[in-house]
Amino acid sequence: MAKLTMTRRSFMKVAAATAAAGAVTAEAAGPLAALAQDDTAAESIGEVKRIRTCCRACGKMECGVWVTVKNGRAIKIEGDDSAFQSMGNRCTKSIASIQAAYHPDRLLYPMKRTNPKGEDPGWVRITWEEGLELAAKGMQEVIDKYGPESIWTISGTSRMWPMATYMGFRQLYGCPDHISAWNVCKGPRHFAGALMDESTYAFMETVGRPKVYVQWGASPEISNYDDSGRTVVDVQQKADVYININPRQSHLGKEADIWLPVRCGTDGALALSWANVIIENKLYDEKFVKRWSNASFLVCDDIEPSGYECPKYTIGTFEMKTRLLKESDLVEGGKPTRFMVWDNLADRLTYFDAADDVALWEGETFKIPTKGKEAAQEGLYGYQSQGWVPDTTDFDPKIDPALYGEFEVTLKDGRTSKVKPVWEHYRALCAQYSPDKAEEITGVPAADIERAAKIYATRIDPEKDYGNGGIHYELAVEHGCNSTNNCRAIMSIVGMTGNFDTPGGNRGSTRASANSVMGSGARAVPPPLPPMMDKILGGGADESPLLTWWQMWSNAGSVYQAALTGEPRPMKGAICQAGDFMNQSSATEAWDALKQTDFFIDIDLWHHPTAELADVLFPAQHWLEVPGFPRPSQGSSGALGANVRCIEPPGETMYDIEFNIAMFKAMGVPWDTDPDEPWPSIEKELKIGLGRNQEWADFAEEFQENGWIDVKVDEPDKWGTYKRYETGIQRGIKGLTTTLGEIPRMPGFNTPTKKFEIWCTTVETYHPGQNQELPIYIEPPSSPVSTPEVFEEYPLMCITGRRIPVYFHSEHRQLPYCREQWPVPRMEIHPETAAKLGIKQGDWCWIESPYGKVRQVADLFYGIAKDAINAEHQWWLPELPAPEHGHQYVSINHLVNARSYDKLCASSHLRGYAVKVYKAEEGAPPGMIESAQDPRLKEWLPVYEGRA
Amino acid sequence: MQYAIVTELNRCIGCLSCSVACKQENNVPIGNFWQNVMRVGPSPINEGDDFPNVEMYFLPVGCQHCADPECVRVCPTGASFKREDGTVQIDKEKCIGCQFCVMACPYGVRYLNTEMKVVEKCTLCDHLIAEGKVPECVSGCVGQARHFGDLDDPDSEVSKLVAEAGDNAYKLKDVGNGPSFIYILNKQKWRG
Repeated sequence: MAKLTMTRRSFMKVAAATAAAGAVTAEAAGPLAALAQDDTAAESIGEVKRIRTCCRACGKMECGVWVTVKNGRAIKIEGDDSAFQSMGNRCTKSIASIQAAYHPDRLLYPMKRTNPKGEDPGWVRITWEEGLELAAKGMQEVIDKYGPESIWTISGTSRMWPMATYMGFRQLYGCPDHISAWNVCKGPRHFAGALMDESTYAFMETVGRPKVYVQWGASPEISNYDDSGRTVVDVQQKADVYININPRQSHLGKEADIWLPVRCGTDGALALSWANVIIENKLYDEKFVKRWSNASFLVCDDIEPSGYECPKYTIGTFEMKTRLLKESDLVEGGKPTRFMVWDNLADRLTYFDAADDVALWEGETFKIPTKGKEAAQEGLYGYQSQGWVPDTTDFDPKIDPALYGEFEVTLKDGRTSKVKPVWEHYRALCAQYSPDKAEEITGVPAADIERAAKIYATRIDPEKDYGNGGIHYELAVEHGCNSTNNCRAIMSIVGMTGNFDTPGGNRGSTRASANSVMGSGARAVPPPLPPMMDKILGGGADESPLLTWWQMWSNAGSVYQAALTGEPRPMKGAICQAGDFMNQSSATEAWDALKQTDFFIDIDLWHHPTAELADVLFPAQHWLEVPGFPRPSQGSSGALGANVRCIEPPGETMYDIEFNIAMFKAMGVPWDTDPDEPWPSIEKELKIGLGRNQEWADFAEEFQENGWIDVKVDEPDKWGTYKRYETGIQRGIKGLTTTLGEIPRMPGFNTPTKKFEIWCTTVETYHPGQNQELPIYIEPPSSPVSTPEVFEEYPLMCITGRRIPVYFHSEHRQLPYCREQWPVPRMEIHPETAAKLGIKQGDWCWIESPYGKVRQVADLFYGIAKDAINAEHQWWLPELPAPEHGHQYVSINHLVNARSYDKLCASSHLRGYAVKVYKAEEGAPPGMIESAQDPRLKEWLPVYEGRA
Repeated sequence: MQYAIVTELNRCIGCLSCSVACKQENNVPIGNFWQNVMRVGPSPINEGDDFPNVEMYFLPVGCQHCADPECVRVCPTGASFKREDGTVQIDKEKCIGCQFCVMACPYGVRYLNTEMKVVEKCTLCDHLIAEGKVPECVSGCVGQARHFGDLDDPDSEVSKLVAEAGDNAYKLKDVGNGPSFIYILNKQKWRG
C-alpha cells in the first residue's frame, strides 16, 4: 500500500499557505437535512412540470430560468439556455430561491404590533381587512395632524417592479418625499444621464460583445448587475482587451489585461485624465462631437445667463439659463433656442436651433436616415440579432463647427466679447488632469492611464462606424460623493469615442413593448405637484436644488434629520416596500427616524429589522408565486420575457400589485380611471398594465412556448436600430425600459439644447456660479487630502459595497445554501496592515468611524492597498432577536456620515471614508451563526406544511 | 476510461455556483459540501512584489476521482471502489461509517453523514452521466469554466483542452493517489 504523506489537514495547510484566505471550506459532518424532504414513493409518481420563467433572486438581471415543479412544489431551478441575454446563467441565489419560498420564517399573514417601537413588536395576526383599515386610518391621522408632507416612502430594489413606494404611494398620500434605493444604485448614473443625454444610457450592451471590455467600479460577474455573470465572463474572455478599474482586485479583475487600481473616490480625476489623453491624441469621434454634442457651442462670459422654458425631469417646467451664446444674445428679437457656433468653412457664425419642433442646424431639414448597415459584432449568443446601424449623417448644407479657437462676437448691446467653444473649456479642464497629475491624485501609474485610454479609444475595426464598446461603469463611482460628475465624466468619454448607442456600447434601457413598471402607480391620480413637490427634503437652494427638477427621490439624510429634529418639518408617517433602512445614509439615524414615526407600514417576505418597526406588517409573495409580470431587460440586453406563477402562494401573502391597489381602495382613492371599476382585479391590471396589445394569458403562453423575445426584432425602430439620435427615436425615450406608443420623429436628444450635453445647461441653471457645467473633479470629502486631521485618528479608507456571490444586498442571510457558504461579514485588509494592528486571518475586528462602529471578520487580502479596508454592506442577522436582528452589530452604514452627500443628486456618502480598525477582543456578536455547521441553519430548511 | 472534470481557472470567478448547484442536485446536507471553492491569493506575483502587483485565482475542489485512490485502498469493506468509468464511488450498502477514507483523502472532500452513518462525497453526478448528461457543477458553472469527459479518449473535448493547455495544465498535489481532475491556469503561477 502506497503511503500517503499528505493528510487532508496538511493539504489544507498547503492551500492556506498559498491562499491568503481560502474561501469558506466547511467539511465537518452533520445529520442529513436534505433540501427536498418529500421524495416519498407516493409522491414520486405525481405530476412534474417544467415552467419557463424569469429569476428574481437578485434585484437586477432578467436571467431566464426553468423551474421544475413536482406535485405543486418547486424542486429545482435551472438556467434557460435559450435565453440569449443570460446564456443559461443560474447563480447561487437563484438556486436558493426555493429555500426562500418555503422558508419557515416567511411572513404569511398581516400583523399588527402590540408593543412600542424599539421593543419586540409582539406581533398579533390580523385579517387583511383589519390591516388595510389600520393602514388607512394610521396614515390619515398623520395627514390630519401634520399634513401629507410629513409622510415619506421607502423603496428597495427587488421583488419585480410594482413598487408603489417609488411613485404610487406618493400619489396616494400626496407626499413629496421618497427614500429610494435607486438613489445609490444606478440612480446617480440615471440622474447624470438625464442631465446630459437620457437617463438610462449608462446601461451597456454587454451582450453586444465589445472588443475592448472596460469595467469601471463594477463586478457584474458576481452581482449579475443587469448582465448575467455568464455573459460577463464570456464577453471578457472573447474581448481583445479587458480593462478593470477598481481599488481592489475583483473576482474577474484578476483576469485584467490592464488593472487601474484607483484610490477610492478619485474616479472623476481618472475619467478626466482619460479624456485628456483622448483629446490630446485626437482619438475622439469628431463627427459625433461636432454634430451631436454641444461641444461647438460658444461660451460667453459677458452675457447674463438666459434661455427658455424646459421640462423638468418629471413634472413641470423650469427656465433654463445658460451662458452659451444664442442668437438672442446677438440681435434683438433673436431666438434664444438658436445656439451659435463658428463655422470654419465659411468663417462665420452659424447656429443650431434647439427649439422642440426644430432641433436642426441652420438650413437643414430632417430626413429619417435610410442608409446604413447591419452591425457586425462577433460572437453574439443564440438567436440574438445584430441590429441596424445608420450611417453617420453629415452636415447639409456643409459646415464645420469649430471646436478650437477663440472668436470675437458683437453682442446686441454693441459690446464685443471673446468666446470659445465648449470643447476648449472641456479640453482645458481635462488638461488639468494629465496622466502625471492624475497619478498623483488617483495613485494609478501615468503610463497605465495613458495606455488604457489609448487602447479604449483607438478603433480596432476602423471600418466600423462606431467604437470598441461602451464603459461598464457601476456603483462604485456613485458612492463617494461627486457621483453625478463622475458619471458625466465617464459618459463624456463614451460619447466622444463613438460608443453611445452603438453595438456593444452604452445604449440604455431596452425599449420593449411591455411595461416593466406595471402596477407601480395609479392611473387615476397625479403625483404630488409643485408647490408640494418643491418641498422635497434636501432640495433647498443651498442643498441639492436639482432634486426639485428630478423629483424622484429625497436626500435620505435630510429626511432622517427632519424626523429626528422636527426641522424643517416633522416626519411622522412612512411606508416601505421591498426596501430597508440600511441601504443609504446613516443606518443609525435611519433606525431612530423610523422608530419615532406615528405610523409605519411595511410589506415584506421576512421579519427584517425594518419590518420590526412597522405598526402594521403585510406579507408579500415571492417571485416563484406571483401571478405574472412582464420582464423586458432593464439594461441593454434586449430581451423580453415574463415571470409566471410556478407555485401557489402560501398563507395570506399578497402580490405587491394587489397590495398597491388595495391600499388605494382602503383610502377611497381611485387607482384606475374606469369609474365602474376604480380598483381593478389583478387579472384586469395585468391586462392593462402589460402594455402590449395582448391578453396577459396569451403573452405568458407564447413565452412558455417560444421563450424570450429578441426585442431588436420585435421593436426594430425603437431597439433594433442604433444611433437613435440620428433616426429621431432618441427624443421619444425617457426613463426605464418602456416606451409605449408612437414616437414623433425628431432628431437629437431630450436635453435643453437637444444635444449630448458635455456642457450641462440644467446644472448651469440650478447650480449657477459653481463651474459645474462641465464634469469637474472634487476631492472626496473624507480623504487624507481633504481631511488629514481626521485620518490621523482614523487612518484607513473604508471601501464598502462589493457584492457577495450568495447575497443580494440585505437578502438571503437566512437561506441555508447562502449562509453556509458565507456565514460572517468579512473585511478585507492588507496582510501588512493587519500585522501592524495585531490582526490575524479570521479575527473579529471593530471598524470604527467618527459616527459609529461595527464588527466584521478580517480577511487578509493582498489585493487591496495598505491604507484601505473593504467591508461588506447591508448585513443583519436573522437568527438574533427582534427588533434589531443584529443590524447594530454588523451593518456597515452605521459608520456613515449622514451629512455627507453628492451636492447634485444627493446620493449619500457610502464608501471612501475614514475608519480605524482594531481587534474585537469580545469576538463575534453574541448568539450569531458563525459557521456552516451551526445547527440553526437546518432549522431554516423548507417546510411544506402550514402554508395554507 | 477516466471520466474527469477539466476546469479553466481563468474563467472561474469564485461565484460558488458549482458548490450550491451540487447541493441542490445531490441533496448534500447543510454544513457539508461535495464541492468547495478556495481562493488562492491574491499573492505577490514575484517575491518582493506588493499591491497592486498581485495575482489570484479560485480553485474548485471536490473529489478528484483519483487513478489510484487512497480512499479505496483503506476501505475495509470495499464500499469505496473505482468504477470502470474511472469514477470513485461509494456503495452505501457496504459502508460502515468507519471514516478511514475520510482521513485518508488528501483533499478533505469526504464526510460522514451522521444520520445515515455512511460516508458521502462527489459521485460526479453518476445519475446524470448515466443519462448522457454532464455533472451539475459543469452545466451550472456560471463562467463555463468546467468541462466533463473521458481523459483516456484523446478525441474528447477535455483531452483536447488539456493538450492545448500544454504546460499550463495542473493537478492538485499528488501524493501517490493520482488525481484525475485537471486545472488549466494561464498567465499566472500555479500555487496548488
